[in-house]
Amino acid sequence: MAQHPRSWLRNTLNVWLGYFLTAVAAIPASALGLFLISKGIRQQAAILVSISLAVLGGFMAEQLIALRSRKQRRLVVSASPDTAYQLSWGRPAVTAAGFIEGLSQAALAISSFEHDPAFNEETARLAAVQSAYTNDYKIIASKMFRLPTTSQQQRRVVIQVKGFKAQQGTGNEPAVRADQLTRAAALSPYFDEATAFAGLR
Amino acid sequence: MGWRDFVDVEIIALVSKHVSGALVIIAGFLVIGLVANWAIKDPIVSPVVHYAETVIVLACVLRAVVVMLWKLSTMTRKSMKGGGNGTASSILVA
Repeated sequence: MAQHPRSWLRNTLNVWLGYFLTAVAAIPASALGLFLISKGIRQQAAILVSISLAVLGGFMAEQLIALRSRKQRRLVVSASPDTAYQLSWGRPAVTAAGFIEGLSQAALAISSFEHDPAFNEETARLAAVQSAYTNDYKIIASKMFRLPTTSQQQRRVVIQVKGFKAQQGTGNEPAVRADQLTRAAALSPYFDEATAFAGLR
Repeated sequence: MGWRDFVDVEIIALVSKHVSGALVIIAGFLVIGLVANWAIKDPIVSPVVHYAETVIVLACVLRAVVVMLWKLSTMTRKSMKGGGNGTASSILVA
């Protein structure tokens, strides 16, 4: 099972983003310092206030961005016994590091993706069982195996994988879904992880 | 216990990430300030830009010092507990 690696590039860019946020926060802090100087406060005291506010503002902005990027993203995987899958995402959280890493992962995903139109129920079951024993992932609900197994029956598996949910059910035509999968692979840095977790690869 | 006991890949990775980040951001904003000064050429705006540049440089340096000391103390505390998670990968992720 593929596990999304936390790359050196991603972490370095996150560190750089923190310094950028500090520098941006230093601009209003400088304005405040100049205002204090104009009010007669000593320059050393004003610059100390400015620097402190800049550092604190940078930390706060970094925390806000981290909280926002942790918002759950939703991945919908639709499948029927003889057709492929449909993927759709909610509003993605974009960061500089995630964008650059997403580009590289999307390139890898497109070049190595193999579309398998036949959805094997046993394969999905084994993938779900295997996922249940992985500490890095958390299955929220799995109703697939309690529903009737007729081909017309809607089947849904809702899975939460590090910030997004995957749903399996019946979907569109195979050709349409293959195209959607390809576009989804180009859009999401978590595509490898999602497809591997859902047992699609 | 000599200095070689403390200098390893984890510390190098930590310091290089933060020093490079601080230098890149400081250099970028200094260039922006120089270009702004050169473009505006206003005796009132120039000290304001210089003040902002000073605050940016000192804020980035202070942040680098604070964050690196905090991470190093975390590493030391975890290594003191025996084993811990003070591995290179954990520091890279930190």
